[in-house]
Amino acid sequence: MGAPSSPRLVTIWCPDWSVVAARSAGSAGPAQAVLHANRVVARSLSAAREGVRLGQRRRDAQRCCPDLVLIDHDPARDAREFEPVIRAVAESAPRLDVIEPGWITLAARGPSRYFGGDQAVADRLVDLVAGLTGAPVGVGVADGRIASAVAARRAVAGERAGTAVVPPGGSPGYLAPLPIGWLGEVGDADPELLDVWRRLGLHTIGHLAALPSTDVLARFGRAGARAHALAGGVDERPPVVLDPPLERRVERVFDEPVLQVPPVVFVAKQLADRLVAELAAEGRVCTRLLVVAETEHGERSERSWYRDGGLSAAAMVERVRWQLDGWVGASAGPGPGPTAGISAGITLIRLVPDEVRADHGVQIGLWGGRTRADHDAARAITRLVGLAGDEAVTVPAWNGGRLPADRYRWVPASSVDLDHPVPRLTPGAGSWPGAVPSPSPAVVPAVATAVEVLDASGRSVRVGGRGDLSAEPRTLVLGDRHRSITAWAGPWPLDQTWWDPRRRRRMARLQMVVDDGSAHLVAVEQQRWWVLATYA
Amino acid sequence: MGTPVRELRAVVVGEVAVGAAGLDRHQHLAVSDPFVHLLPEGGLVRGRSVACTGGAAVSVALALAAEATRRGSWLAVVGLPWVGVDAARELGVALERMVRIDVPTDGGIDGGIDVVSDWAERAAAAADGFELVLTRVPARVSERMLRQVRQRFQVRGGVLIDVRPGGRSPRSSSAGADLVVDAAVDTWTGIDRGSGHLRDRVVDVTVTGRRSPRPRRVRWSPPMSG
Repeated sequence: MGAPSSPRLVTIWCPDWSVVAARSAGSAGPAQAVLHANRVVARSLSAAREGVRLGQRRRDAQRCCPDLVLIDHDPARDAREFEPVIRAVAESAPRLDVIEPGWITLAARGPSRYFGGDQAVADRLVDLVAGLTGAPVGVGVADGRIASAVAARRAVAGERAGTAVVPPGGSPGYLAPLPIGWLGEVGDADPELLDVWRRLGLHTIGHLAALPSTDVLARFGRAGARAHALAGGVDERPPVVLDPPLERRVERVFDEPVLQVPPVVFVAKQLADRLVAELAAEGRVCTRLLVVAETEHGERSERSWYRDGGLSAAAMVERVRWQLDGWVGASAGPGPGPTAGISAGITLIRLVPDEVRADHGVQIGLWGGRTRADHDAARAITRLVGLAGDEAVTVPAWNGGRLPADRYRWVPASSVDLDHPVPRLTPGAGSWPGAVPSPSPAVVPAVATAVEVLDASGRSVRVGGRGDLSAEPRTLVLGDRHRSITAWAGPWPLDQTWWDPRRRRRMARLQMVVDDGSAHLVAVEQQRWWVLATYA
Repeated sequence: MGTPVRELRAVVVGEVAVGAAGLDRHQHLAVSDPFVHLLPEGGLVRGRSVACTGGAAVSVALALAAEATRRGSWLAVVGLPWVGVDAARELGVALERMVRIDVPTDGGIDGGIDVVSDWAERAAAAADGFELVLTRVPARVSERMLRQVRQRFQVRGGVLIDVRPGGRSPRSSSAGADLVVDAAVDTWTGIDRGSGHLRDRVVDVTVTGRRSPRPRRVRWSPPMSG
């Protein structure tokens, strides 16, 4: 008993919750997969039997299972459909943490005493949740968050009817023979770090736990020490968890009760930003957040949200949205319970950091993997896609071509794997001998601007069949502005898609510097002049 | 209790903060060579805004962002659908961390003017996750809205780069910026009347700021390839 003892916890785990949620929301078909950023994040049992794996690309998933029904990832739907489960569980254990839709933890002590043992609690919860969702569920009971979470996941396919109880004091022994990857799966451990350990020959959690903790800290920093503690079955509460002072809570009272979710979420965003900034100034991060909302009629929603790696402001806002969607939207769902939905506008939103600890940059990739900046950007991209739509949030992809606007395409960020950008950006094998040499123009509009190019006598300059100019270009007319041309180069003829008479384009390109110092790439096609791009 | 945590953090920062740009770990984002000496703080200070004006405004804005993107920062290009990808690459921007976010326009001439409320919403959302946001602050944006967007950058520690291509910007638009980088094209070389092609240019860069009363100047030749 030398190691700090971890609290006994129950974990409820609904595997592939996104698929279950989509199905309750009316999506049909036996083989289903939920996609996020073009990768499978959840799949139904029959899809799994066909070989659809988590993390698989859309194409590969469709290849192994042609009948696969693809569903877009919708965290709000997941949260909404999970709300009845949270509510039912909260009746027997009011103090519970929601990690994410499909994943709940609660302290085992109270319920266990009440129902007569850990196994009885687990059996009861499996019956309760499976009865509500009609989908597989796993319930694990163990010392510490990690062992409990692993037990729940392993219980889903285990023989004891969806339950797994690790006896008190048995967590380290239970975890020891398991592959080290579990620490990433349930403990947010850095995948790059786990990879390094595997290469060093540390394949099981026991291998890692056997190392002296001081050595791990010295060699792998805080992130390593943290994963090491998880491997020993120890929750990293003491000594880094500090009791947050009361004044850390942030709240907003609405004078006018608010009936819609978005304005409340917007306010929550401001509160979360403030909270996170204040904590960050002290080098701390919130791991458990209590979100409280009240209506004018005194209805109240209170949830505790836990995240091992700490909650960023965006993560807090996301959880507020989940909670409010589930609460406000509950009455619209099937089988309205006595407490479902709200009868009046929201008058209060409060965020309470229930558990904070020193921020040791869990998310920073040590060996050039995903950094915190990558995580933040990925989250912002998801948000922006929600605001603006897929087509409005794009990233460059190599296309190839002789005109500036052709060389890169813009593809929706939601359709590509942002973690593996190399194939997207690497120029293909083809060479483009006719392209204008660098430097490249910094302003490349999608649509060219019609202009006029005049010679010394004010006549339009014409281009002959062999790309020869009728006269020296002297003036560039942009709208009503006349600019005298101080230098020019070209014309360089371009005969695009000459093999296809309908798409064939013959043009000549020139570069022009005008008297205000600006330089343009200009094209002439069928005696009409265009500015294609500007060297701004 | 405060002291051990702080000490622990110092150890961690020393060990972990390799090249990666942790959001709140460094006071500013790195810039490449001529700009290191040109900017009063030697880098882009988090939470502040920079206005880029003049004939080479877009190039100078991309060049300012380049070094930080190579060190792991992400660049959002908001409401500038015409940004040239090749130019960005040549100026040193890490394309794998560049994302374009479009803003609806009112459909007027010249491609239209950004819808101000959409611009503010998207710029603020970009500030949440991107350390660099390249955009053009709409002329019609209200003081209040602009202040809110700027506050978001201050809280999140990102840098707002306001690009105003073309001539010198009117005083009002760049007045709110912490730093104004004016980039005037001085000369182009490699091109003559009917021969050669655009090869090099010399850009006259002048930096003025609210915190640095004396303007600093440098003559800059943009790099040709990243």
